[in-house]
Amino acid sequence: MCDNKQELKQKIEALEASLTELKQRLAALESGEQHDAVEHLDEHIRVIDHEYDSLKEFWPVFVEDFRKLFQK
Amino acid sequence: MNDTTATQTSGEIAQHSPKANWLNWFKIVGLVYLLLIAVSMIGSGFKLGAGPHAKELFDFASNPLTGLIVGTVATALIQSSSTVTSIIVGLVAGGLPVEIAIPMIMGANIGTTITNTIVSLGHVRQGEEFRRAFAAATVHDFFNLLAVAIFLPLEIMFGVLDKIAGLFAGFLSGADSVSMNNMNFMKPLVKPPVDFVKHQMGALMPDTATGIVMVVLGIALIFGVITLIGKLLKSLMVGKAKEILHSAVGRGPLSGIASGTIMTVLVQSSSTTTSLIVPLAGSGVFSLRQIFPFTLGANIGTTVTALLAATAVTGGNAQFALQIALVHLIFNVLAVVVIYGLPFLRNIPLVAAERLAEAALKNKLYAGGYILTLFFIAPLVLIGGSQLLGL
Repeated sequence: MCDNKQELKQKIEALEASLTELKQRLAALESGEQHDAVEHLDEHIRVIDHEYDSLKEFWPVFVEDFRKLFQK
Repeated sequence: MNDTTATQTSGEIAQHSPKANWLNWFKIVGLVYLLLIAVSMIGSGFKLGAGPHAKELFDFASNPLTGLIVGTVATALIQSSSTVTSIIVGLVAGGLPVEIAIPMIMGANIGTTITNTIVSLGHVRQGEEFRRAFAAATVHDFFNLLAVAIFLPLEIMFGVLDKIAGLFAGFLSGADSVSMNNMNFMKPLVKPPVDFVKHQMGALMPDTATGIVMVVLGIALIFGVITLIGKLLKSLMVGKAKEILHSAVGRGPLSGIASGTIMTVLVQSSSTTTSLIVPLAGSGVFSLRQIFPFTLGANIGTTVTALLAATAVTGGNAQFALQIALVHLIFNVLAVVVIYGLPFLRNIPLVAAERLAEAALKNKLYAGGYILTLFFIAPLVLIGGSQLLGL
């Protein structure tokens, strides 16, 4: 019983250690992706200067959903 | 603009030679000078045109709700809170009472969020990407709405912002060490061109008409100048903005708020900061909780323009001009401290933005209806309702 308890404690410690390691690896991976995305920030500036293009993109989808409302 | 100084080519930021960079910085200095002249021109024009009746002219906005709506709709139409707050500073310099201007300043905060919301609509055909982008844009709206819901009643009941800003403005205007009165170097810089315009116009028309023309000219000048400053700074500062964002990655919310503030000060536009964040969130690389602090920093950073505009004001109303600029700063700082500082309040904009984005993903009518309602229909209904009720 006592051995079993010790064994369980060791298993939990090992699992916690590997969980911490996995979390650190995930954080590093996410951080790398975020740095990559920031590096491409200038590509998005054009979108801000042409925000009405976003409205043009949105309008047909909006109208389509509006029509569906009356088709039901 | 010639090839070397072109800000953008085919959607990419052009590389600037050091000479072109210097030229652009000189242009910015010139534009800031024009901004100061424009603010001063509005102040002088309003004083000349309205005379002692400045308060009565804005009687329609003495209801705080009307002031809030005027600020919201004006900013949503112009899409620049910096322009609207600079105009308000100019009007206060000309005699508009600070207590009437405060709700307008709050409205400018709400109105400016329309730009990043429109930007997020561009992701509409990308499913989950649209949901994330729309949530990232509207979290800014919900934060600003919550800030107004908390601070406008406090302002109406106790004049909290008015008093705090008045205290600081009094200190800055009166203290020997950091006196605004000592900043009279602005007067010889700004007054001659404003006086020149006043005299030229005055020779052609009566005082009231001269005042109106000066106010209109000042507003047009502020609009043009801030648009040009924004374009130039965007291209000059994109590298710096990247550095700032890189330094904030993985550093937690306080670093995010600081980065959003610095980035907005550098590009002189909260819309630019918050709109650049939208695609980062849309791609899923940054979570909504991670980008939220950047948008709060943008609110604080954008207050620098009004403070800059206030330095152009000299004479009796200089203290009030500084006071309204400080109201903008204090309101945004307090909103961040109170709403982001208290976890139950912090989650409200996040949950509201997520829920709305989920609904908008299923049916785009929610997205369109939300924008129309928040920025145009609700203001009109509220103004109409308050007029009908005689409030």
